[in-house]
Amino acid sequence: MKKAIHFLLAIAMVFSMAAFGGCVNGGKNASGDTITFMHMWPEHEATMNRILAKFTEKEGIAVKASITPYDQMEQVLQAAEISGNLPNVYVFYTHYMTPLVSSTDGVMAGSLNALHEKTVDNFVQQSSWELGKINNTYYSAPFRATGELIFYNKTMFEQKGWTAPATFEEMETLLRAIAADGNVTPLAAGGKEHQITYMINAMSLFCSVLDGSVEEPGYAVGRLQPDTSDNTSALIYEKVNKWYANNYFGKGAIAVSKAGAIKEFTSRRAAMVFANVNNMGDVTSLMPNDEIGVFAIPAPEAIANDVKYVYGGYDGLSYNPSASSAQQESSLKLIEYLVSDEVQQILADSTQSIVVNKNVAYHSQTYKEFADEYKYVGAYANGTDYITGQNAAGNVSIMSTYISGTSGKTAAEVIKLINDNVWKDMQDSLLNNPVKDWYPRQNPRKQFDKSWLA
Amino acid sequence: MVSIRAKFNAIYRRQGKIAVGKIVSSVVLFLLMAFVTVVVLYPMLFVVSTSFKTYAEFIKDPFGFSLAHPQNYARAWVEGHFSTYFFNSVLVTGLTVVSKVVMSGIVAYCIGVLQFRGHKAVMAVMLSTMFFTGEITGIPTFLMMRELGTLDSIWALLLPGILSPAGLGALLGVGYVKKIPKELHEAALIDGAGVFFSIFWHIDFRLMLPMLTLVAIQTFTASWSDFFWPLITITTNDAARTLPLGLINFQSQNNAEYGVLSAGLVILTVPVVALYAGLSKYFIEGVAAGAVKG
Amino acid sequence: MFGIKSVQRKANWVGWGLMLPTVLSILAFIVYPVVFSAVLSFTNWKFVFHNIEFVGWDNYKWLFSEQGMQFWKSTLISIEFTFISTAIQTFLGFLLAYVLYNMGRRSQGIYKVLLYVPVLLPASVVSVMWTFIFEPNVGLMDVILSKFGVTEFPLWLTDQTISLGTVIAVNTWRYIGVTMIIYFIAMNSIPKDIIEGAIIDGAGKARILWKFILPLTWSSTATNLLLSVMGGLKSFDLFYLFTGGTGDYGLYVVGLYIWRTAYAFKTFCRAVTMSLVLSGVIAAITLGMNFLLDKQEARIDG
Repeated sequence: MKKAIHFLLAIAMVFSMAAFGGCVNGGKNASGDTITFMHMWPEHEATMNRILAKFTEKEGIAVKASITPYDQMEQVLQAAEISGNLPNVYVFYTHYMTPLVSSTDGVMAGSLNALHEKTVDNFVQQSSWELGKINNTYYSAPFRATGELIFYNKTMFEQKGWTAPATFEEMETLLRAIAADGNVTPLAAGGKEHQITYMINAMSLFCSVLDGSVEEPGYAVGRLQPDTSDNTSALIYEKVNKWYANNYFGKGAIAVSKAGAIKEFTSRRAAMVFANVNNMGDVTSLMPNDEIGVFAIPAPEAIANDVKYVYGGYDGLSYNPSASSAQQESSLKLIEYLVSDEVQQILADSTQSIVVNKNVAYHSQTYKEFADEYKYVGAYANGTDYITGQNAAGNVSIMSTYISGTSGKTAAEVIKLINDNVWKDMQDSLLNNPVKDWYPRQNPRKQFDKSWLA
Repeated sequence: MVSIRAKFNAIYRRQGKIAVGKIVSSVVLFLLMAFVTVVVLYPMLFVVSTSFKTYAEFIKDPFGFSLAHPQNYARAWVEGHFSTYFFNSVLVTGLTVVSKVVMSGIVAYCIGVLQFRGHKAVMAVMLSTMFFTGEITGIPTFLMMRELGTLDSIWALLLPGILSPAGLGALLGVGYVKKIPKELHEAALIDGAGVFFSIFWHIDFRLMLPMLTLVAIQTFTASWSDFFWPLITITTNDAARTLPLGLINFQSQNNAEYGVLSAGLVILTVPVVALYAGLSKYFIEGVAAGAVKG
Repeated sequence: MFGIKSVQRKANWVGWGLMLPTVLSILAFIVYPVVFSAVLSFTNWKFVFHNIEFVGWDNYKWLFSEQGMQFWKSTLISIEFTFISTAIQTFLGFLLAYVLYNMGRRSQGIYKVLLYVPVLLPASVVSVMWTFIFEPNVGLMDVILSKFGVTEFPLWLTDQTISLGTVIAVNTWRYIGVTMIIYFIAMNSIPKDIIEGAIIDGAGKARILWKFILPLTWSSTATNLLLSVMGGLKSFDLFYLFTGGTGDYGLYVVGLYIWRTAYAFKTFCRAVTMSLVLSGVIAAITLGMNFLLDKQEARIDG
């Protein structure tokens, strides 16, 4: 018995040391002369080091950089936090900060409100910041855009007399025409990695813009009450399901991986493909630059000039709020420097990144085209104010299964299931304390022409 | 020493029984082994072949054989900082293997041969060490390393490696050691080998060699290619990193450089395979029968 | 073990003495983590050690509520995977070991290494390889099938009815070497004179196999079964790699689900609760098997 008590005491001790561990970050009075920076771009290591050297020259602050693979970031950040070694500045996804911040109540990332105030006008897409806004605080500064555009084969298009679509209606006509031609897959997609669901997301965004939902306060926090009496969503799902059944995405696309889809495109067996600008290096090693064009998913004619859809987000910068105030100051200086005109220009030139700063000049025509389409990433973005868990995590699979026609449910049933899943997570008191609920609509939906959804 | 097969054949030939069944079974056997060989060999040739391609070549023709770009290996070695990391990997893995083999031998001896009082319960406890997943052992062990101040140094790798319990070794060792005939030990006792140590050293250790070799191989593989633990414990100290961490440099989100990555993986795997090939001869020795006769 | 009491007493002392380091190591690396995890399973620990409170049995209640059903579903998938995989591996391992046992020295040398190499490959290599092999339309499997005139390819990893079978096949490929070697070692340690005696008595190969080799390698069968079951129930990396961490299409095994609960949903308290319960399930199955196998061994020895 005594042994057990000793044991529990020992554990309580370790426990409490761990709990206070976050405070021990080189001591509260560590100077700001040296800060640590962790990023996830091994392919751009050299350029990043160059940029950091310039920073040191400019501000006299030394920066120790380290690299972690993107898929291990969360585990590494957790281990770092537990061991009291959270890097002063680290890279994570702006659109994915919510779980990181909410589960730790701001222990892992500090407020960037001041920086937002100061620099937001320099950003190509100002609402990109909203992706990382939780409880009225900005936790991540967008640094470079990442997302999936539609790549198309210019040469093939010229030969067959096809043109890149400017509106959604044009895109549907194009898909039909390519499918009728019968020689190539219209739009290769990595269905296994849920790329086909981008279409649903795109159309949902367009409908939200058209019926005024984007102006609702409920939309801004990501939990606008779904309207069960309205069938617009069902129409969207059914349309994509029809496209899949017509093999617009290629036969059996639901099992194809992203890499497989790109291979189809580079072997010229597909006219278009969903790809990320970071794939450019791979694609151009097999196809010359001028054979490739890009476009984001265009909106219906009524709003085609205002919005397009890009599935994506931003690699963003955050800083450690438990470090000493001198270190925090230095961290903020580094973040400000990294989104400055100078650094963003270097990135655009040396790393083929799509940057967030609007004062950057792209010297490659191809990249300029990309950047023009990428500016839509984060348009109408919202700062979701609740955390999702295991229920909502299954939603994208439910969507994919429906699209491929194997789910055995109707569109309305699938939509209800998806919304119920989100609601269950909102009501999970471990994830959300206090629990959240749907935010009722304030204004009725605006009517709009739904012929493009038929 | 004539093999069993030879003796078998001799008897059959003597009796003039070259059955048709034997031919059929040989053919079936041949096909089976051929199938097994291809199924096992092909994926490995695939990786080796990929290591000689550039990414473009890989995408264009993933399954073709190639020896075109050996410079991938040079790149993997240099950019993966392999020369620094190689020494660390050898050190950590070497000490871990030695420790596990010794511990396994001792545990197998104590539980299987000495059978001290309560050995059945202890065996159950050793078995239970293999029931727990990484989520249970990971963070507490990490915290322990933190309290000992070993994080970011090679000790964070050495301490868990050397000191963690040899569950697998116990399972393999005890099962095997029980088959060593009691007569051997009794004979040794009568012969005056009153000291337990000499029993262990002269009899059991030699006979356990095949099992201990297997434990050594398994431990080596697990330790050599362990990626996650060094990743979270060694954060800034480049001098303490191990080989698998060098591969990070080739695994970015959208530009996985399959060619160089494969070259790095081949470099990572070759020592393990070489070691295994070298040690595999121990899998045949250690036959108890000879000892009984002699 | 030793019939003489005084010798056995001395053996006890020596035994405990030698076991001391191992016992300490178990205390530090197993007992402490388990107790630590048990304590935390009664809290609301989510991701880091901040603002943690005791919540009593909430996590366990959650596990048995409707929300926790996924754990049990995943455990069933894991059990299905484990038992099929273990059966195939043990049987095939024995077969291959027996074939190897009857080969000449040189072929033995080659095949011993060849069949074991997949065990030595790091998980990342295995995943790169097999993902490409199973890629629809352009992967090796589909290319081979198309050469045989097949046009409708099975969806290897996304068809719920066959996806588990695909992973079982890859898993077998990966670990058959271990099963085989364990059997091989055991077969080689059968005293040769027993076999020779049987041959001289006129026993055919099949009879030798059934009456001698099989019973005499029983402890290896036991070892293999235990190893496969313990490994299979915890199995995680192949499922993670083939589904990108989501466990879609029937591959949501419990190891993956626990990992996801910890790192994707950032609810560590639930993850440790599930891990502890899973360990209990593994313990029950393993110790039960161990007991049955020991009984069978006693019958064989007798």
